[in-house]
Amino acid sequence: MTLSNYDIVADVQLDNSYKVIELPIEILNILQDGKEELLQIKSLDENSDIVLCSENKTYQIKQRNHSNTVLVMSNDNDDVLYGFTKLNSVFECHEIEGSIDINNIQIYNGQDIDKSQNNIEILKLNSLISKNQFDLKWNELNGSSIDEIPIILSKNFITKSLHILIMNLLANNYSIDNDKFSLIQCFNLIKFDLNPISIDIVKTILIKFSSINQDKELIFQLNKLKISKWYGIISLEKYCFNNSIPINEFLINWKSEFPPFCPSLIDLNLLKGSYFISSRDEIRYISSNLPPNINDRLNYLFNLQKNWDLIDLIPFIEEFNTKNINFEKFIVKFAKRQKIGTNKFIISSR
Amino acid sequence: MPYKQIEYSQISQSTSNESPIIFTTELGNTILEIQGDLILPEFEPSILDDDPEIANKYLKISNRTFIKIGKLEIDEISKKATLYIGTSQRLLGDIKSINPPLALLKFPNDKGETDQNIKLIDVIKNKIIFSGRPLPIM
Repeated sequence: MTLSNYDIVADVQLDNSYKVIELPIEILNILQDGKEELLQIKSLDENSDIVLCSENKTYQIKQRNHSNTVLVMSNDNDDVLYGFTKLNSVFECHEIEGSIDINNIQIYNGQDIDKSQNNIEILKLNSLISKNQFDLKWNELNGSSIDEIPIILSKNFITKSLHILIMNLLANNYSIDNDKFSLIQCFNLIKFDLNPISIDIVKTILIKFSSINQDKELIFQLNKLKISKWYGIISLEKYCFNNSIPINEFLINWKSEFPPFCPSLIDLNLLKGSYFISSRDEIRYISSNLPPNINDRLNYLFNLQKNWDLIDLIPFIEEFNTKNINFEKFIVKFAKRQKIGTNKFIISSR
Repeated sequence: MPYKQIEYSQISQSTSNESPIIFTTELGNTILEIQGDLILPEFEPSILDDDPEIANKYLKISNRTFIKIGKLEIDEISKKATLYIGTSQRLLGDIKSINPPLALLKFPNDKGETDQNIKLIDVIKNKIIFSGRPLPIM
């Protein structure tokens, strides 16, 4: 038996500035591998969430209190352990997507902007999201910048910019389907038609409508699917916002939204989760701004239409199926399921 | 706060290897957990220099005063620990791994440190835990 003996002592004036935090495996690896990566703790104000950010991931921090006596002690190679802090809680880390507060960001429609606002680097530092997740999320939110001032591009402005970009590319005999374009090439093509415009706005538009681009040279290839989907949603909002119209009429309207001679893909599957089709074969737009709770959302959907084909319903509820359960099983917790074919289920309210 | 950087450069080396020491980290830190409340004095007694009986309960190192809690006996092979408190109580405990490991952070205090970063002092992977009731010493 190898016994070691230590005297245990505790500082009379314990230092309360120490806390312990459970380390996610990714952060532990950063520490163990000696990587030089930016680690930050962020919050918006006293009432907001607190997050721990590496360069790639965001973790929400929650405080778990306990009633045990937990002393953190140090040993200086002698036979005394010195207690220097007593802990009443542990910080837990839960991985989250992270968020960007866009409440005070200007919506850009082509107008002059207020340049007194904080620049985009300050927004990035202050947002409860990691550096690399910020870039992805910012693009999803149609975020861009002019002279480093963050802006959110309006839908109208995006549609107008995309239209001008495609028209200019076609006028210069480029193929939308096959050719690749550099950022600067596209900027030079549209800068006279969309004035004022920044190179960052052109980059936002290109990222939004291009295939995933990992090329550091910033070369883009436009994605017909993404462009078609955008014009499809625009058409749903324009023609079927509060009323239903025949499907064929909608498809013609959708096609007419594209710039002349632009290749298009007219397929309702692209718009799943943004519409429903009534029993009279009429189509109606469903806004993405649906109730955040699954029960409320299903009630809303069943008010629009009593019976839903499960396949049509999935796009509206898939965000709630966090454990990736088979949807046929997942839905029975919230609604009535009726099997009417080998793989066909009709879902209705209980 | 809106954001604070975490400084961790000093601990990278110490966490990279599996330490042969079980109950402290390579930087010498450990966590001692007792399932119950250990009431410690919040202030240094003013008569420390006058009363030898009280003075015996404290340890003075430079300008800091420590209260003596007890003695700890560690068997690193069986991962068992015994904590003797005073002359009449002992606690039996274990050295257990902490999953996930804990990072010990030092936050800047309000006394002139508000501009400083958060410091990651150590990564603690084991703790000494006493989960049973105290036993008498015969």
